[in-house]
Amino acid sequence: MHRLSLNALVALLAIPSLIPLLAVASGWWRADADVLAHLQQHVLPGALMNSMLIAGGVVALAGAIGTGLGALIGLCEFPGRRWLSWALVLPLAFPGYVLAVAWIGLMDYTGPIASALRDVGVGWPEFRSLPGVILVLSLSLYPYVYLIAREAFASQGARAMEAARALGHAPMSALLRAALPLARPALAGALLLVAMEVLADFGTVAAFNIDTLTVAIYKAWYALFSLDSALALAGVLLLVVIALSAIETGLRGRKRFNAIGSAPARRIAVGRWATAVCCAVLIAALLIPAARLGWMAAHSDSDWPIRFAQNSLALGALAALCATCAALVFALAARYAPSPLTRSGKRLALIGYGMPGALLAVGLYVPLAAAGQWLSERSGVALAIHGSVVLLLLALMVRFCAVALAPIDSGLERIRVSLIESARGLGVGPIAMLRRVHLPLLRGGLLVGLLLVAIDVMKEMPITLMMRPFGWDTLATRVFELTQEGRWLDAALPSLLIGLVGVLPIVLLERSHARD
Amino acid sequence: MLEIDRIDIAYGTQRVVHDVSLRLAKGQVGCLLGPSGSGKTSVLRAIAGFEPLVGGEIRLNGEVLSRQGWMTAPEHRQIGMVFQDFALLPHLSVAENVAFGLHRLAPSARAARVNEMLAFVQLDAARKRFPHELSGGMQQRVALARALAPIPALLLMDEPFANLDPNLREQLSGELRELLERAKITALIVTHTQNEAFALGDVLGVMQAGRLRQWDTPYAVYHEPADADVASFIGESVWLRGVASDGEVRSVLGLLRSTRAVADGPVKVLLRPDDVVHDDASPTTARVVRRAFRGAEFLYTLALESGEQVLSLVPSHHRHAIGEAIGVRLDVEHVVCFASPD
Repeated sequence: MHRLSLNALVALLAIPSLIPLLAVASGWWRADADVLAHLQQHVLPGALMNSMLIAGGVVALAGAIGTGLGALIGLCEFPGRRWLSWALVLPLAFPGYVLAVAWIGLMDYTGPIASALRDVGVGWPEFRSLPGVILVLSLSLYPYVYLIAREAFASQGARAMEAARALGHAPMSALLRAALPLARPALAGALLLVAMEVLADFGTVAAFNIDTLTVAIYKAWYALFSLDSALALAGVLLLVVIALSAIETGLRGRKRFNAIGSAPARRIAVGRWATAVCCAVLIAALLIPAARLGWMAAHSDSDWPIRFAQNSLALGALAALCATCAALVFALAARYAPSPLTRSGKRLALIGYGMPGALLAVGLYVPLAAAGQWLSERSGVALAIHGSVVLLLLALMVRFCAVALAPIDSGLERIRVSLIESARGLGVGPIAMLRRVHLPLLRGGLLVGLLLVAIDVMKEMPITLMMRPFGWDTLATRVFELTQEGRWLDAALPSLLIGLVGVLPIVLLERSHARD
Repeated sequence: MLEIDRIDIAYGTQRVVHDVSLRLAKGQVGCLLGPSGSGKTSVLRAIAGFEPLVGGEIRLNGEVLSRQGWMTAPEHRQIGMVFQDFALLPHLSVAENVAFGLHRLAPSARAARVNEMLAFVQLDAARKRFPHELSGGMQQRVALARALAPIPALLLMDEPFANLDPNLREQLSGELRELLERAKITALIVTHTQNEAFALGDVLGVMQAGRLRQWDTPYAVYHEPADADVASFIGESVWLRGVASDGEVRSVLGLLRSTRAVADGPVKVLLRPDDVVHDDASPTTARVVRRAFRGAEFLYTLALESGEQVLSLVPSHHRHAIGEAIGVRLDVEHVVCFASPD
């Protein structure tokens, strides 16, 4: 009974993740030949090329910045290393589009630098270009690589460096031949994550006014009202994402990478140049954007965006509740009713996290809207599918369930089987078990999950933008609208608020890191 | 060969090694023995070039490697190191690991040296395997081959058996001793297990609380310990009260002639379990308090008339009940005693 109901719940919760996959996959042969021909000739080449170029550029640049900083902090000793170790994570608080508002505000044609140069007769390159967007996305995404590289180098790289140096390798050679190869699988995972984030990004490229696959999907949907084109474009995006994941899986071979010991090793002393390098990144990714946003907000004459902030908070809280409940079901089912179905539930949650928001929105909306229309025609009851909060929450749940799953899972791992068995021996039934054993013990993990999802939802842009009720704006969609209208100054305050909210999980993360 | 003069090592403000000096001659194997936290691994890491000195000097073949504020980089020292966890690179095969320190050789010379080393540690068959596919003992041999391949002037080993199955340690320490002898290498080994130190070392040092208390042959360290702490740390020991005058020590077990000069007054005499012999003919008797069976022999804890307790190793066919009084006498070759103010 207990097993059966868990299995049924997992199946029910897995459906929303499956719908967009199936819908998008079927998009290719459903679409009209004319539509496809138009896409192939006019939209796809540019959008696909831009997506690939930006993803490649950001993976290279963010990879270089993140790996370099990770090696400095993980392997070397220099003045300021301790506070830089956590400060370098802070830029993660700014989603790409917030950074874009700040940097475009500073570097654009009308910005202070270009104006000043123009006054003395010097030209200034257009900042809203591929190099510009690659730079801004790299500054916002390098912390993913940095976090993983720092961990990999500090945990086993230092020891590998010592072994290599005892065998006659100079520090640089030891880094390249021992520490870096050991960190390679971890780094590959981080770079994949970065590539996924870039492919999924909508807000940054939209602010830069560059057409990528996600922007093309949005435009097909809003400007052309062509659901078929949107679906077909989403299909291309899905193929790219799947191909990327396959490459990463294929890179792992027979070698094992976690076997070297982790006895404490001494960090290599380097000079103040390392402090300068770290500070330079921090200034570009955090201080300049924050200062610029502050200046812009002070010079904007728009009011405090209280209503939008309330909407953001409400949406974040509701979506967090949905996603965390679903994650709890997935985690409990996989642990206590292991079956192919329950195991695939967790996998689907991860796949949902890998689906770009624009793809998810289209893939969920199109079939459900069709089903809703079919039902209305049959029953005569009007079902408002478009702009329904339910649909929006469903999409956010699919996208962010995996975020809540990780802390719940790690909490669940700490509950030993013997504990459950002893409680059973004391006559505790399944429902009471949940209430009296699991929920109290998982409280920390559940709270972290709720918080992380809520913040991710507040920073999220494309799903909210495409599925929100008409005229109902959050901080993120407000930033989008203001930037589309070219009102950069007014976009600064909501951007700054989103950035401030984003600091919270980082403080949480780094505090638990310091405790370990 | 290796000369360490009065070195001090500190982590931040905490000094972990004080005033340690030792010498190792070419071809000798030295062992540093001490409880964990005694600073022995720090000495090893300082010799390898991973820890800076705050005082003293380390020389190898007359060349200064480390002194305060200055050190040769680890990669320029020609010192091989086998880490406690072996630190084999998990992304490289056995042969690639052994070749890792041979990057300055031409490819053909490198391959030849790898083959030679793999044959030396009898791992030819495992050359293509990866570290995680090997047993602990094999991993140790790979680490040894890798450290010896560049022909270092000195080999350092940090707790070579700590990561291995306790049942195999004795066998492996014999094998290691043989390998080191065949390689004719000068080596310094850190361990916290006395039997390993006895089995491996030509010279033995005992470290306690950051200081080297004694640096001598294993035989001398056992039978003529430099101080009471070393004596207690090495081997099973009990102390018997006595009074010294003119080099003679009077105790409840009779009169003893001290091996070393000792000041007149109250002393404590070191007794090893093999110093106290069971002899039915002896006029002195002691009562059996505890008895531990060790196969070939019993280890008896005996209470003397004075209330003091001593240990005695007795062949196991002499079986006595607890509470029984048995005759004992001393058979001490090296009488070691230290002044005891109380």
